[in-house]
Amino acid sequence: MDALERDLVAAAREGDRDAFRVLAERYYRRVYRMLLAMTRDPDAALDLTQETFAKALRGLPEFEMTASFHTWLHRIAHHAFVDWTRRRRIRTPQALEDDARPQAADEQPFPVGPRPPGDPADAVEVEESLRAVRAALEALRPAYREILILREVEGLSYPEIAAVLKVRPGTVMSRLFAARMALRAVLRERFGMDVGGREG
Amino acid sequence: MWFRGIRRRKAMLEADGVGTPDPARAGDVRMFRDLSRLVRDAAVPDATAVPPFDECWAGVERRLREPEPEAGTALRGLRGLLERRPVLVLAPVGAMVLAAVIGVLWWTRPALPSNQCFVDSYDVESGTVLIDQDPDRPERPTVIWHEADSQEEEG
Repeated sequence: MDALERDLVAAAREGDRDAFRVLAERYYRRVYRMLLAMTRDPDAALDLTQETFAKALRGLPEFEMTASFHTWLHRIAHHAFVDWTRRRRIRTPQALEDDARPQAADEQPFPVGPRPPGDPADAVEVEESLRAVRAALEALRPAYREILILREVEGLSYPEIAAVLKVRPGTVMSRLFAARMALRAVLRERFGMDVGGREG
Repeated sequence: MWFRGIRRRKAMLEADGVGTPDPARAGDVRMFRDLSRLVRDAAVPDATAVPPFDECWAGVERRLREPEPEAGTALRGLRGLLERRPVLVLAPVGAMVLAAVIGVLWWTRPALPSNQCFVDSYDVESGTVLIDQDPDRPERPTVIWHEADSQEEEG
């Protein structure tokens, strides 16, 4: 925590709602985008973001000033996401696959890798690839999707992810490995998208 | 740069740049980099519209005005459920008791020979990727890829 953040947290702990509002505004975009990546639902993301900040404000008296505020906030968001996945009825894999299929008639596998800019057809292919990846992420177990977002999108270190998920760093590594393997398998089996690596 | 085998942290740092490339793992490294890039690009595009903060804060204020759930509410609901549908309450309770008994029996079982082994280890903050681990075949080695932060940025 920087000095300003420490002051804001201290003031908010004393009941200064305006100080907490400044803190919330600091983290708002980051928390919203993370929850959007996890839920793929803008309304749910906003709802969970509000829930995260409300719980954070209520829980501030228990926050230890020596801890990292953003890791603590991520942890509250993690709980909100877990509760949401329990409440939500998971969509069927077939529906997800339909979402991700290219609208055009051709069923060519999606290419991966850098491509020369400028060709509109390439732009369409890239967007289709990204759409497939989004659908594949959604098809993953929530725990896999979450750890991939925390690592690849949020850029949290392994110790930070371990603190957010309350697991050991070794578990973070093995879960990340399993999540990547699962994502690769879904991309290949459902969308014909080969990311490379060894067979199996 | 990647290595085959186990190295002490000091040896790894000293060997930086003189290790033997392992072509067998090059595909794995590329795959992880591709997957990382795809997830980053696909998860939340930069152009994604974020609702105004005031809209979010209004919802936060509304939630804060709502009373916190009372601790007794769940207990009252459970009592009502027990009266209406006792099997829905008693079945999980029975399952928990059975699980507890099995747990005690498992905990007090005769100790098996340990299959633990100890390897050199090193601590890193980031840049470590678990490349290969087969929980069903614990005798197989675990492969870990570590790259310096500067290399990770390039990926």
